[in-house]
Amino acid sequence: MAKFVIRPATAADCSDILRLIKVAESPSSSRGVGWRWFRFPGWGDSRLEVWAGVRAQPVPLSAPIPGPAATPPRPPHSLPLSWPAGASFCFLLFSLLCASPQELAKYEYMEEQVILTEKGNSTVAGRGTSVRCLSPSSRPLPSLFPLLADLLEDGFGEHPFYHCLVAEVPKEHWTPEGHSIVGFAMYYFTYDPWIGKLLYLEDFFVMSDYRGFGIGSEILKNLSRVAMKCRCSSMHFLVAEWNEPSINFYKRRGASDLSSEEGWRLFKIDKQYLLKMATEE
Amino acid sequence: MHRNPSPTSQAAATPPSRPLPPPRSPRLFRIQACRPFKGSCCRLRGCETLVLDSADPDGFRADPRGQGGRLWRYAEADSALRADGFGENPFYHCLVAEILPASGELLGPCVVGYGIYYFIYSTWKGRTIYLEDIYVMPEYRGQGIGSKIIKKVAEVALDKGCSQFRLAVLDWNQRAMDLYKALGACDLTEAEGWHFFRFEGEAMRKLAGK
Repeated sequence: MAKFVIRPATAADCSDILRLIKVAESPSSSRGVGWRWFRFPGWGDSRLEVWAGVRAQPVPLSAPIPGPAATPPRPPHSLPLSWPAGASFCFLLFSLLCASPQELAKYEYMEEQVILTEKGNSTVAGRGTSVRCLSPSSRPLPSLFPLLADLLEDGFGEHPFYHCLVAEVPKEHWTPEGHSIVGFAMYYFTYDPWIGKLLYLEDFFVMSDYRGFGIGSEILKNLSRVAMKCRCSSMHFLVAEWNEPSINFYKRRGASDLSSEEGWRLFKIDKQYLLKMATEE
Repeated sequence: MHRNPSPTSQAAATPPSRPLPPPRSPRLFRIQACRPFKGSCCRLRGCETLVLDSADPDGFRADPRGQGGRLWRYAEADSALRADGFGENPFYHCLVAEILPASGELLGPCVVGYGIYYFIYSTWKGRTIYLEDIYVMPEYRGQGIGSKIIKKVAEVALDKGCSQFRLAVLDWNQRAMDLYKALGACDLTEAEGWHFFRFEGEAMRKLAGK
């Protein structure tokens, strides 16, 4: 494949960016840690919406990532979930909506402690299973993936939180589903008071069928040029320590592992603790 | 992410050029947004514990944190901080912790700590706040000032629709890690194996093909 273009994303590319985010985080992607998300739309006028996600644990690179065919599907009715009144139809709805045996197979990973409440609370249980229930009366909870509307507003609204580059291929190389965008990089600018502006690479993905053609390298080259043009002194990003192909890719190009070399650790504080901090005396 | 040396390798700090007010009652401090008035950026550095020194090739002295950066080599350091934080398109926001004067004292509020944060984005979590730098002068630690700065940043995060708060900490800084964990933080490097990587200087120029 000779031709591809790396260009800044526009608002029209948001749906492709979201598509690639989901592909990147799927258990079958080579990243190894992934979420598969499926949404169950409401029934009648209840507007009850359920999202279910499954996250596979990272697997050592030497072990094959199990595909959906490896695990037999479990019938929906055997899920030990407690549902609000009137919601048992959702099981039936789900099975009706399931597009493929692949989707049903994901039940195999769903843990027993998942609990739904009517108010829209969610719990994360077991091996990273999370279910969110949106009741008509409550404000919709954020999905673990950004919603398209959020992605649009946050990237292309009045105050962009991020910028994106996309990799586009000509028609003869479009994906079987007819998509021309086959890779993306999401970045934003951060600041170190000691050294000034930095470019932070939040996410970087090229579809597996399109690797090996220099798309990733070209994206990185474009990012570096953006960084230099904006007078950033360096480019930072995160890589999971078990992701050897990515680590090798970056190290070959001169990146240094600050966590190993300097001892940096990434910490996070989730929303429930932010609320606790903000409300306690 | 500038690297502070571990305490064992840190040089002894030289005394500041004027005496600091003694540590006061733990209640008499406030956290507020840093305002870009004249001298605010120097105050940001913590009441003369960090000063530019033209005699020093690295451009700073008396820095108990022991780390200089290129920023300090240039006379425009103060104006760069001012423009980057208080210009039309701020790259960071800052809260300062001020000790309030006791009644009868002539001294005004004194900045003894700060927190620098900005907004980032996560493909998983959407809007996120990132605490880039937090510092409290050693004499004023143990009074809850650091916790209060973090709590204020948490309030800002919620106010701006952020669903997560992130920060980085060096692995030798057990006291800081304990504080963050007590506030509900989780070490993602330990739990999920995330490592920070960087392209810098020559490596970045090579990538850009320059």
